[in-house]
Amino acid sequence: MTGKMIVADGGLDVVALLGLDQVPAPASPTLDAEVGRRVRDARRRAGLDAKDFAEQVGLSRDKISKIEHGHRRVSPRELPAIARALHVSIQSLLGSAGAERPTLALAHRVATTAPRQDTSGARKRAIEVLEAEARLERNAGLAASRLSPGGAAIEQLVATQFADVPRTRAEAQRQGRHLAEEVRRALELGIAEIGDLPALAEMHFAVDVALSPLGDSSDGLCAHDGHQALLVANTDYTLGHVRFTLAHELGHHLLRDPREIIEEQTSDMFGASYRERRVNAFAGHLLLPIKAITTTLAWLDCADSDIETANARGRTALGYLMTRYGVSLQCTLSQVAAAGVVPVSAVSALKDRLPAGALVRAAGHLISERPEPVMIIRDHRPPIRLVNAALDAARAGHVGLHTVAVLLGRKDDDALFDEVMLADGSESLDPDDGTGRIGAMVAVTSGVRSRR
Amino acid sequence: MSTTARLWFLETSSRLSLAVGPDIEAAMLAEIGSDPAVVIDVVADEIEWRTTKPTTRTLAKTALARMPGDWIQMDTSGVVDIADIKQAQADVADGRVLSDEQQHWAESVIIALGRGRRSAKIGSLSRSDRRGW
Repeated sequence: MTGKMIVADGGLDVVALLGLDQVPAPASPTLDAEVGRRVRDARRRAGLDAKDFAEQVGLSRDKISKIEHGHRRVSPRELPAIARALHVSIQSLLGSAGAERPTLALAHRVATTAPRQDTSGARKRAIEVLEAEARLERNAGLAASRLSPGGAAIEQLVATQFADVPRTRAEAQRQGRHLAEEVRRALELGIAEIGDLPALAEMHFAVDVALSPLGDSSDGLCAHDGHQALLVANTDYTLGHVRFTLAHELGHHLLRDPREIIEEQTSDMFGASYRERRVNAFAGHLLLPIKAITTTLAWLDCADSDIETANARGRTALGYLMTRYGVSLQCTLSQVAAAGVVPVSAVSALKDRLPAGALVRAAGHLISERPEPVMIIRDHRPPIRLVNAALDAARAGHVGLHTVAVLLGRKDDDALFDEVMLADGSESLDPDDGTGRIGAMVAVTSGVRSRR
Repeated sequence: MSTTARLWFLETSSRLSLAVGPDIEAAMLAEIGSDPAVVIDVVADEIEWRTTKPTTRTLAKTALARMPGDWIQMDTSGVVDIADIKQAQADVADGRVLSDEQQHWAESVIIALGRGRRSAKIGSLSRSDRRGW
């Protein structure tokens, strides 16, 4: 099929004016073949024979056959007619744009590997973030995330010392603790509390972190491959639980879990596998190191027996550790047991016996202005690298505001437009926008003179 | 005396907007002025199709009846690649789920045409489409 040009009284040749080249046929052999296969599959699903289908579309059977076998390119004009006849969307015939890109490929695998038919909130969040990232990569030259020197040292360490999956529970515990201590050493954290865990993960380990309230969806998700890594944590849980979940997912990533997509409920995270035990040990020791416990107990003059009997001093100490280090009672007790302060066998009974909120309140006079680890924050925290890039790209016109809205978890509305686009005082708003859209009229400035 | 020469491509919603009422029509025609205006085949087809849909039938019929006689009708076959249109549609959608099977298709053909040009500058009056050109 050849492109013919234009009509009109003035004999204006739009193709020549724009400097358009004839598209060679086939222009995109792979895409032509894929579209042809989808057309054939959709036609068969619709129960249409080639003759009826050809009549509906207004093409000859021969042309339909060539399209279905990838020997003839579908024209922009024919594709909508084909989609209508098959009762499918144009997009479904074309497939996902740029699906060959690694980021979109990972998003696709997140979407298609769900164990249940319905996609969970965590997966949906991961997919929309990865798709936004892919748009930023393509349209705005998004810079790749980078390891900090400390992060690079940890990556090297993992490659050399943590290649083997633990074979015993004790080995899993040892490995998790060892890695957490090495992370603290590499990042020069000492025994300090980690205030902004998402920022720490992003800053040092080249991951993107998205926190979102996801209802009764999974607790967390880690999607990673050789190209990028995204950690998602559900904030419809207590702060301590969310932080532990995030540290747990970070552990999966740092330890190079061979699964590309790891989506976990609480029961999965605390499963019996040595792999899970290892990342739980990592999470616990990263958030609340042993030395922090012993130092704190010494400072508070709190004996082991105070903890085990859970007397007033012991409860205050536990509440202080929970609040300062932002961890749950379960995590605190597990770490206290790992420190040898109480026997492991006592943890369960203590957890059942002690109300977490009361412990935090008991330590209120020692520590203030900290979010309580027993509170459910339900906050929405976008990946910082991506949201910064999206803001720049939206202001430069390289992506739409929807990309910003998705990352921020906000509505794509006028308020967001004003905040994003007018934040730097620019006056780039199209005056038409104030009175409603009148359509996308595309003006091409060229050397042609006005006809009148 | 020469003026800034502009060539307008009108996509489906702008063609339908013309049919909404005389004020909008007058405003749009004033903006286009004496510049040549182009309606590509995909837009024309979509408007024809929309005459069969209850929600757009009236507007679409009016739009067809009121198309100025000197507007250029353009056959896009052979001058734009489906792969380029596909990418343009993804860019315009910007991650949104498309609300109907043809949403942004005609617009994306125009954008792909613009991206494929060797000469001329291209710009859009649509807020949502101003990106990546």
